[in-house]
Formats: sequence, structure tokens, C-alpha cells
Amino acid sequence: MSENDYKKVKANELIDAIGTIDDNLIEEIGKLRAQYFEENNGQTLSSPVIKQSKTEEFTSHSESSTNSDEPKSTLSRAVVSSLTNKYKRRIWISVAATVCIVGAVVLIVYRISNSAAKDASQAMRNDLRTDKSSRINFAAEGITAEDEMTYEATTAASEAMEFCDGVKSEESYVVSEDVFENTDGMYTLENEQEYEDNEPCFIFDAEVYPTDALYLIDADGNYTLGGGNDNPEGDDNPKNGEGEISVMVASEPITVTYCLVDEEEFDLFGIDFDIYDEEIVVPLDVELREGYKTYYSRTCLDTSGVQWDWAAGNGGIMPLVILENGKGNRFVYLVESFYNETVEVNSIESRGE
Amino acid sequence: MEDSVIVELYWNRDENALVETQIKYERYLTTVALNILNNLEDSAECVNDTYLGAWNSIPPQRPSLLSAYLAKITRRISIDKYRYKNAARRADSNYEASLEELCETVGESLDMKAEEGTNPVKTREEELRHELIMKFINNLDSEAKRLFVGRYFYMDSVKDCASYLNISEAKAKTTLFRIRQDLKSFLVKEGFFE
Repeated sequence: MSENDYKKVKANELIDAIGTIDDNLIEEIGKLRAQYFEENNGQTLSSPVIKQSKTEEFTSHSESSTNSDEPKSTLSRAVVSSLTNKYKRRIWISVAATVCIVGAVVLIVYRISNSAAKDASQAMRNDLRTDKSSRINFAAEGITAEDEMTYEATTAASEAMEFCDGVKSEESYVVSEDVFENTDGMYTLENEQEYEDNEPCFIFDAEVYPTDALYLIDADGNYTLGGGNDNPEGDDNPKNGEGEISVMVASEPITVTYCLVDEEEFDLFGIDFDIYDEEIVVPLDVELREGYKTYYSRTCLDTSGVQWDWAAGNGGIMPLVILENGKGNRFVYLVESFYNETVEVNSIESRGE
Repeated sequence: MEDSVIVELYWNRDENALVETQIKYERYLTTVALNILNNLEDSAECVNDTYLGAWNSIPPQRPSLLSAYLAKITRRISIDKYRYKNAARRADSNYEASLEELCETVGESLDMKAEEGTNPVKTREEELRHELIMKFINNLDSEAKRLFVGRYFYMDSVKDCASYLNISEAKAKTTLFRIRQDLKSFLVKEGFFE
């Protein structure tokens, strides 16, 4: 016997053996199938059904299996069933076609309206970018910024949002839709989502105006931090390599100090990495300076109550490092390889001074 | 009509047993046969033969779960018919697909004599195989067990199994793949292959 034949024999034995399994199992699955039949309008699972025949026909068949009329009656039932199914298919095709046409019309209307909304949104962003008096409430501590950074939607922001969508889907980060209001550049989060104490969470919502940037909240739900674009040359396209979007989440109100550092400084820190390398891993708990530690994660690893995510910029993912000085102050470092100078400030208010 | 009443009709040799069986189970049995034969006419004949089989076997049998009892008869008759009709050629059917998949669980280079025919009387070997398969099935978790029975007893398509078990088709495929791998290991360990 060939190997193939042998396999078939054994497989047939298996099939036969499976045919002897306990009735209870068969019954259990049979009920599930039957329920499925009912819910699917009496259709069989995937095959056409022979219609219920007249009992008389069946009885005569049962009494004499050699009755020459029986195959004919069986066949005629099958033909009737086949025709019925054919008409059913036609009806379904008609319904499907109608649904497609209606769907297409709805889609066209939606796209037209969406396009108009985007134009309006873009105009608002432009206004914000040129409005130097725009102030953004960054933290519960009352840190506000005379924002020279223009927080706006960028391609990089979208990419960051896409990236973070995956994180958002994690259970602990699922948040309900929140309402943002914009009044003179002050963003107020009407926080309705539920999250546990000391369980930082964040929101990314491309549809939220005005900046389409990244919004963050702390455990008290009362502070937001936007991401944006920074380019003194006025070129706000991070794809050109000059800009960044920052993301940060904190579990408690903290004093945030932004430090823009360049690669050299990171070299000084002894961290060797390529900002374009998504696989970069900055070791946790590495002593950078006296009393400073890094907190780093690609996926919002919670370390000592501070969570953070990637910053995105320059058309890619940028690392961001939070340092804590041991006194409860944490410092956020963004990497901007295109700045050759290190600007260290005590708060974002004095940034650029 | 309750199954117990129908069985009682069989025991009383009342031909209404056949009528009631057909009314209650024709569609159910037809799907079982169709999954194997993929042919309406043949399936209808197998279902009718099932009634006859039930008539001839009850009594002495007194099945407590009539639907399962009938399904087993239909399955057996349909498989026999399939084997008879497809001795020389292969056909596109769920049975063939199931068989193909189970072939994966069979060893690579073992020598074994084919057992001819399909004796309706359970031999000792068949008993052992029954015990073996039940041992394996009983070790599966609930979902895997249902999937296994749906796919390899009822021979429903993976898509259909996934639908009535309320899981994704991809998950069903993955689970079935793992079941087959486990079954293969189990059968080797238990000496199913010589």
C-alpha cells in the first residue's frame, strides 16, 4: 500500500471513529446548528435545502425502497427546491444592488460635507498659527505658554495618532469620547471617561479641533497637553525635517520643563541611538545625571507613575525622554536633531528666551 | 412530537414513526448528507435510507437522543455512498476536505493494511478507535470540542462552524489546525499508527 493510500485509510478510520462519538456531543452541536438555521431564515448553513416534502410521498418511499417512482419524486422535489433557491438568489442580488447604490450616494454626500469641514478646520488652524496671543493651558499647575510653537495638525500628528491608536486600543487606555472646547486657545477637557486613579490615559482624536494635535490628561482629568510643530523658519511641514509632535501623559500634576536637546547632548548622556530607528531602546533606570533617571517606553510603560509615549516628527517617530530629578520634578526631553543648540528652560513659558 | 413518542411509535411498528421523523428531522439530516455528498438527489436518497435504517434498527435500539442517532445513520450511509461513488475519482465536497485535513494527522511512512468495506457491526478495533477519539475529544476545551464535532462529525465548512459557534473564521481555522496537530501527537502516542 502506498503511503498516500495508507494515509487515506487511516483518515477514513478516523472519520468513521468520529462518527461514533457520544450522542450528547452530537446533540449539543446539532442544537447550535439548528438555531443557526432558524436565525438564517431557514436556510441551511451553506447548502441549498430540500423543501419539506409531502408525507405521503415519503411514506410510500419508506415502505418500499425499490419503488421506481421514488427517485423521480425525490428529483422533482430537488428541482423545485433548486428553482426556489434561484429566485431567492435573484431577490438577494437585487437587494444588495440597491444597498450598494444607496451607500454610494451617502458616501458622496459625506465626502462633500467632510471636505468643507476640513477646509474650515484648516482655516482655523492657520488663524491659530498666526495668533501669537494664543495661550495653551498645559498643566494643572497653571503652566501656560506664550506659544511660539504652533500647535497644529500635521502629517506627523496624523502619523502619531495612527501609531498611538494601537496603544489606545489597549484596555487600560480605552477612553470614551470627550468633548473639547476651545476658547481663546484655552482647551478645556470635559472629561467623561472613566479611568482608575493613578491610571494615566490619553486621547488622540483627529477630529478634535483646533489643532488635531495630541491631547493628554492626567489622573485628575484636568489637564491637557498638545503636540505641535515647531519651526522657527516658518516651515511647518515636519516632513521637511523640522518639527516635532510631543506626547506626554502624567499621573499627577507635575512641573514640566521642556528641554530641547540635540543629538550631541544625548551623546553626552551616553545614549547611543538613531532617532529614525523605531527599534531604539533607551534603557530604563540609567543614571544620566546625578539623581536623574530615564523613563522610556514605546508603549506607555508605566514606570514610577510616569507614562509617556513617542513623540513623532520629521516624518517619523522621535524619542522623548522624561527625566526625574528626585525632587518630584520631571523633565521632558525632546529630540530635535535639526537644532544644533541646546535650549534648556525652566518652563515652557520661557522657552526661547 | 417528542422524540420519546416517536421512538415509541417505532417500537410499536407504527409507520407514523417514519412520517413524524421526516417532519421533524428531514432538513437536519439533509444538511448532514449534503455536507458529505454535495448532491441533492443523493442526499435525499440517503436521508430516506436513514428512515429505513431507523425502522430496521428500532427496535432493538431505543435511542435516548433520536436526532444524534439519526445523524449517525445518515452520516454513515452518506459516507458509504460517497466512498462507493468516488472510489475512482475525487469530488469537491466537505467530506473530501475533512478527509484531506485528517490525512495530515496520519503518519508519514507507516505500513498498514487497508480495511475493506464498512462493516456496520462494531469490531473490537472500531470500539478501540471510538474510545480513542472520545478520549481525545474529552480533553479538548469546550470551544475546540464543538469546533471539532462541527467540522469532523457534521462536516460543516469552517466558515459555517465559525458562524454558529460565534467565532471568527480565522480563529476557527487556527483552532482546527491546532486540534489536528494535537490529534496527530495523540494518535501517535496512543499507537493508532503501526
